[in-house]
Amino acid sequence: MGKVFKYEWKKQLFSKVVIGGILLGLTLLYIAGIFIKKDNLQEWALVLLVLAGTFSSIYVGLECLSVLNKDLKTKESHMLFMVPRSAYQILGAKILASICQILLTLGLFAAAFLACFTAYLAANDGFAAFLKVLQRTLHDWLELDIRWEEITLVIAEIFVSWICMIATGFTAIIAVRTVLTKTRFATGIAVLVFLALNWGINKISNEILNLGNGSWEEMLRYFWVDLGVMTVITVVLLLISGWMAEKKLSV
Amino acid sequence: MLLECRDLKKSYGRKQAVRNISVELEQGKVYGLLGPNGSGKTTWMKMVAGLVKGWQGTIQYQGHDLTWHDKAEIAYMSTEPFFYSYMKISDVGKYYADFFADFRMERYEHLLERMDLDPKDKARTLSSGMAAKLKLAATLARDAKLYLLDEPLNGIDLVARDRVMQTILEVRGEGNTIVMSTHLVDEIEDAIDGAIFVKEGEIALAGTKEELRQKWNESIVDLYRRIYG
Repeated sequence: MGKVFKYEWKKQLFSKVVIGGILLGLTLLYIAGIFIKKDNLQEWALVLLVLAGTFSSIYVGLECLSVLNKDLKTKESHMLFMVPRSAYQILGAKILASICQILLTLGLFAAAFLACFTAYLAANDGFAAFLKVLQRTLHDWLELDIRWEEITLVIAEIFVSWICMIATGFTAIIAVRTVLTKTRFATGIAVLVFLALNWGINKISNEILNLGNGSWEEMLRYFWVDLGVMTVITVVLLLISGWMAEKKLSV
Repeated sequence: MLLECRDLKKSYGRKQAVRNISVELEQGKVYGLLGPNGSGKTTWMKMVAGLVKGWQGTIQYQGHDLTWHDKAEIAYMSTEPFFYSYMKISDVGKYYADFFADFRMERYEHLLERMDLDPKDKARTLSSGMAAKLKLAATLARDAKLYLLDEPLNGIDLVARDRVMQTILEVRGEGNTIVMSTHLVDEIEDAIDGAIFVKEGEIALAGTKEELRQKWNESIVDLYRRIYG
């Protein structure tokens, strides 16, 4: 599985270099803002960093699905499926590569944030002042208030939802490529199946999150229930994808 | 027996690509899998290579049901180029070396040299003839027990064909089994031990070259003309 992972990782490395370049540029912009004492420049750079981080995460997810679709649509599929590995191992390596791609993207984002933070500390009043600036900026520009308990849950929810989205995409693509091998519209149909599956999963998630009586403790509890359900759905979808690829998928 | 296929059937939607194929391959022999385009040759090869699923019938490899583990001993080469677009010719060798224990890097480098391929070139920028040679070099650099070569002479010019056939036959000398699908029958007649004629997803005729020649009193090329003409 490790060797399949290595080549899956390579396939998507270029976009990480681009994302890294963008984050580096924005970080340098922020640091420049500190040293030339332009608050406006710092605020712009921070907002763009947050937006770049968010869009990069979405892009990385979609790229994973696009790579799988290309793998199955073109003769490059032979490279993947001619090797002495089971379909479960191949898909497992793909999922693992996808998770590592998002972790790398988050890591790049964290590194950019850390660089900004260090530069700010070097030039200003310390950690508390930096957080205050960050909080004020997010509030002013994106109307977000920072509450750390919520942030932890939101990060966990984003992570699990993201993997669930990848699993949904894998299932949709493999199901469509299994049934409609030669159809010209297979990619379009896969997108529709993906959207339909996502709609269903979001509906389940929303139903769970609306179960509480509105109090913070209740909300917190159902948030965890939702995370558990999403995890189970993800595992089931991956098993279905693996089974289809092992038993039915022709490339 | 190296490979035994019984009553194989495979459909894509309403189209039956393989209707009923039963065939046996012996170790150390070279077979010509003959038939026009669309007769089911490629589908059969991909079934044995584990790339086509959802078929009916049985495939026994060395006495057991075929599994994904057997891909370690079966080398399949498809008609079209299949290497990842970012790969250089040298990367193709590294990829094969990573996945196939039977891959011989020295033999790969030797075959690249013989086929005038530069390891630094990008695989996707090669002409169809050079890409065909690269596929062959990568596949034949494996010391596989069974080679499935789908149209190995496609896209290769007349002069280079002799060199390609020579390379294929060198592999034969090591006691491995080779199946070559082709409609260029005259190019391979001298090299094969057995012929399998496929027509509309079924075996129209099969046997050793000598058996077929004696029984029908015709060359393999003439038999081809009789069956598909």
